[in-house]
Amino acid sequence: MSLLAVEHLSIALPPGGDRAHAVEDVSFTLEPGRVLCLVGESGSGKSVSAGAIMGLLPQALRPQSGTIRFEGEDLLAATPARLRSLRGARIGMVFQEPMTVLNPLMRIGDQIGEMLLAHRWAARALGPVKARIAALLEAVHLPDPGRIARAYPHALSGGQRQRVMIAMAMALEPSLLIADEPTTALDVTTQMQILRLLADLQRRRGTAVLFITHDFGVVAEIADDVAVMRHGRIVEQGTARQVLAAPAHPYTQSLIAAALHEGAPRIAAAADAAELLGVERLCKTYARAGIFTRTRARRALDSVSLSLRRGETYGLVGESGSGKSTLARSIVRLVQPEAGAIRLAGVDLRPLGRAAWKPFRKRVQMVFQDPFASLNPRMRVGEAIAAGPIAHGMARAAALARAADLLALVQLDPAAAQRFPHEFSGGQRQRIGIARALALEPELLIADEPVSALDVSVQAQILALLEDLRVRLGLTMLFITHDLRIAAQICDRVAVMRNGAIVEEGVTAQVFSHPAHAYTAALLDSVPGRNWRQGGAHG
Amino acid sequence: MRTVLRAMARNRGALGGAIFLALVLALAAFAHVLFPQSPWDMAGAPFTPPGQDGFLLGTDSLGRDVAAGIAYGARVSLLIGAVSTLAALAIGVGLGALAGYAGGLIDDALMRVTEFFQTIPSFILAVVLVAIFSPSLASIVGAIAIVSWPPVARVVRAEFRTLRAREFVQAAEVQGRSRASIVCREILPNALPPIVVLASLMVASAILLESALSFLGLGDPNLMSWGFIIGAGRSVIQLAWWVSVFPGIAIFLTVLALNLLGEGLGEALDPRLRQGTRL
Repeated sequence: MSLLAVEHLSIALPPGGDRAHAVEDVSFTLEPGRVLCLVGESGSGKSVSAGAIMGLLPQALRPQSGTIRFEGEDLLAATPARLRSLRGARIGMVFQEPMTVLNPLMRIGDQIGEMLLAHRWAARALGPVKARIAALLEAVHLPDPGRIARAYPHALSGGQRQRVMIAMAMALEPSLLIADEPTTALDVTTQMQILRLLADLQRRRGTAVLFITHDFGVVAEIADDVAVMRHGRIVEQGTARQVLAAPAHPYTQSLIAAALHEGAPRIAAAADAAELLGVERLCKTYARAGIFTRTRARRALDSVSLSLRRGETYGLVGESGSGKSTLARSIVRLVQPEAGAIRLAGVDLRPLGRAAWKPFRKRVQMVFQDPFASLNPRMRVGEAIAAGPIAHGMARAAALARAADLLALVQLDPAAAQRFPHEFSGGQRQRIGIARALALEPELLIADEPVSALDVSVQAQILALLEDLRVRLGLTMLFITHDLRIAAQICDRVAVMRNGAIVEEGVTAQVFSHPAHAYTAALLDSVPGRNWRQGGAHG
Repeated sequence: MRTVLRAMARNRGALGGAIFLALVLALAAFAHVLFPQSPWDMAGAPFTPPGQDGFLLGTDSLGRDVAAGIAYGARVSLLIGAVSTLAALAIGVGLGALAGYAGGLIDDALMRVTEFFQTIPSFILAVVLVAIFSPSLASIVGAIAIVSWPPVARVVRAEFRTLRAREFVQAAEVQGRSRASIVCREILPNALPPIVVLASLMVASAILLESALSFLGLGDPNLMSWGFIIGAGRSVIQLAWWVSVFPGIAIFLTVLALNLLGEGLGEALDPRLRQGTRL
């Protein structure tokens, strides 16, 4: 008998949505001790399916038909009290964002202990509970379990918090663990550690895992079985080996192609082109100084130097907090570094004031990370694009006409100019952001994680658009990303940043095939699905 | 805008508040038509109870018509409420925007000034200001504005600080736009909803403040206001309760209507609270 069997599950969306069902006729089974990956992009219904199993659906969503059998018991018919006793004890859960799941005012040990006591693991005897907490923290490879148990959540890193969540989920040795994008919010090296930990725990205890993800790299890393979801339906399922090697459905094929980043061969920039941007020994320390507050300093950029040649795409890779965004923001004067030089075609921009900088704004533009936050919700798209040229003296009518042309250039309907940002999807908004940056006809385009907030298939489209525009308009591009797969696909040269300094720099293929620095090697080793990708390339 | 109005219409409290306010406005606008005589004139016998001799709400100790007083008083109360709120908004939005956008030392300095004003009990400060500058419409409006801007400044500053760090504001900066354009076109429109809500509540508290000042005899002696009628009827409340009670009810209902409207506006302007659009 299967541990978990979902049969013909349909969940209706409230009327007025973009489709009738959040989940429609979904069936899958999970055998004891196996890992099933539920793969899909945002809005595919994968999280709703998991919510239905746990009995944690939003009020507006109610299962319409179908059954969910867990250890032979129908969960849809179970009472709330019965579900409560199953959750935690028989079904463990790990969520995406560990900070919001842990109570910030409770010590880690108490939170795990609460879990044990709530399910009467021990009859309020504190001795065994304490010992059990220490054993659990040790099982998830947290250093110094005693200290961690006494700590509050804010004192731990993201990866440590996710380990605590896993310790909590495994505390009562559940037979099923549901993990909803548990590594999406983490850095790549941390993600790999967490994936290895989950695989290790799963193997040792024989827990079945329902793993929800959007990343086929992660699937290749841990899955036994795969179910691919799209628009609330399962389009393909099978063993991981079979689906990864020979995907049958075109949607699965496109997702896998996007995960492999098999882009068109790019036209490389001439290696002897003149320097456009030179950054020399740039330093930035963040210090919050106020009359009534104590000064605290943090070094974000530590003597960073780099050089961009005309026409090339230069990648800046690193984990969060490595200083790559600070560097990008320094180049466009959103952040003011205290030492060093930023030379654009020979002119040092760093000492320039706001007014003296203005002519250079036309030459350096930026595309931002979050397509939802980077557009003013109360400004029409056309106005937002035209505002830059207007500020630089273009007549309003001409600027608006140009905005319509730019929308066409980024493959949007020019009529979009009359609409507000909330009417567009994430990918469309990012196209608008690109059009806004191009409105000033820059020479240098800085792209700060332009695709990290997007679904994989949309990522591929935006990357293709950027590459196309770069070639057509002769742009030089500084591309910032945490995803080494993307950097490998589109960058001529890359620099690897860590703790505010560049640890390695060179031609992309060389850096990635023969990393000179140990940290680069560790980063490359953490790319999910690395072995699968190499296997795929050779065979 | 249309969605906001529709959301308001769904909220029964806000709708009721808006209708009542419209009635008060009409009463104020047509006071001279409804009561052609000056509200200061003796219209009948002193202490006529409500409903007698054609006086709907009775007369006061000098035989003045209470209903006429309330109608003319509505003009004064609403005028003072609106003008002093506008003045307080001008100070509060200006300083709050400057503090929130500039940050650093300017922010620190302006916020300490704001806190300085907040440490003084606002009513006492208003009494002192009006007493110093001698009671007149201008001094009352000025005093109310001076005691009610600090909360506006704090709200605006908080909004500006968070909006300033948003990527669309940074994008405007990278486009090379002027500070004025960034503040007026990018930040301010997004900071408006809480300011609008706050303003509607401030009108209510300004009406209350003016009534309290008039009650203490610090109102403009040439203007018939609700607080003045209550103050004048205070000494005879056992003999003629209607002199104090009816203007009191007028204040109570107007302030309640403004509060309901403010709350409704707050919900209508916040997409997360807007009913019917929730998933």
